[in-house]
Amino acid sequence: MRSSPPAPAAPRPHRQTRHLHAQPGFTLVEVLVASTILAFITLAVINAIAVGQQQAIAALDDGRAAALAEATLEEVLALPYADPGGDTTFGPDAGESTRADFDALDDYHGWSQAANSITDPAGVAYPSTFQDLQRSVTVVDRTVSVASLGGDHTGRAITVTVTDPGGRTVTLERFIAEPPA
Amino acid sequence: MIRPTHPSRPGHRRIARRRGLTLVELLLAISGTVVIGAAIVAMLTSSAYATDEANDIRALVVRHKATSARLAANIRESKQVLAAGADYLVLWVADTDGDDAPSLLELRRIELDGVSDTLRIRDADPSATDVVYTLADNFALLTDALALGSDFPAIDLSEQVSALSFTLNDADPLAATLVTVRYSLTEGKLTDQGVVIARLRNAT
Repeated sequence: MRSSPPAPAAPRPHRQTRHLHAQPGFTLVEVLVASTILAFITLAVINAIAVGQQQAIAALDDGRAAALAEATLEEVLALPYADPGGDTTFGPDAGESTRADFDALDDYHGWSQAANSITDPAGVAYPSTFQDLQRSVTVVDRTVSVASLGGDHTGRAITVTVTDPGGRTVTLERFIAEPPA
Repeated sequence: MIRPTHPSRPGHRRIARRRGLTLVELLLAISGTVVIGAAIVAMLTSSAYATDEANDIRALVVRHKATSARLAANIRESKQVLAAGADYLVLWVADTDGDDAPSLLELRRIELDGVSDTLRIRDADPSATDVVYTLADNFALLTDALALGSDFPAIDLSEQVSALSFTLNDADPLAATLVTVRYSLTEGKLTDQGVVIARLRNAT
């Protein structure tokens, strides 16, 4: 926008005069265009920061869901394969109303905890950061064929599903072979 | 300073009328700059805070994974709990010498050092002279005493751990099959709780 330097052959330039003459200031349109560009750049940068933070929080949430699934599986696996009472139907036996009464891993079949009611095996609530998750367990008969281990093996497949408020799930499955009689 | 210009130049009249800024104009310009400047500072401060917090959260994600994996691994490979308290857990790792009694080389203790906020694991020095105990011994006091000597050194497992608690699924530690560990990790201004549940090898 500034005036170009005079040609070498021109007479002594009236620099100040020409400079002031050529200084038109910014028009309203130019200022608006400039501030619009600045606004877009600022929004883009802030958006990038916000998305970065959301990703970090999502990773922390995913970690919690995975930890809860692992913890649930450990809890189920701590129980014996065969029911001491001889009950063979999956799910809680007669008289087993809470998980504290469960005495075999199949008793966890159909067990679930809704959001805001997640508790540890002692019945103590999990930290509030876990309370938007929900979990469920299924136990089914499964036969696995492993040629190098002599063919078919019967056992039970335990599936733990943890669901977050966004509907995403963490699923862990473990096959427990039937112990030799 | 302003030299007379060629009369034919159109800039002539404007220069003649040029004056400085009035006080009101100057004040307006300054206050405008202050408002814009304050907005930019606020924006930069909040974005710096957000990036700091995002970094802390990422660090927490990694530290949670490391801490919970180590806690679970140490408990899961152990045979039995010998003693448990608010901030310590004494484990009988395995009956390696097959004498049905815990001994020094078979002990492991997980503890929180409340002064340095460090989660530690103590294992017997393999070169220490083995001592055989009985299940009836008070392993809380016994390992407290051992920790003062050199036969039961500690390794740091995780730093900036502000709370730790162990809960067993049985009132009798020896009969417990499941250990619930709750811990808090601090990173920057954030503190986040984690829960680890691990079953012992004596679970059927």
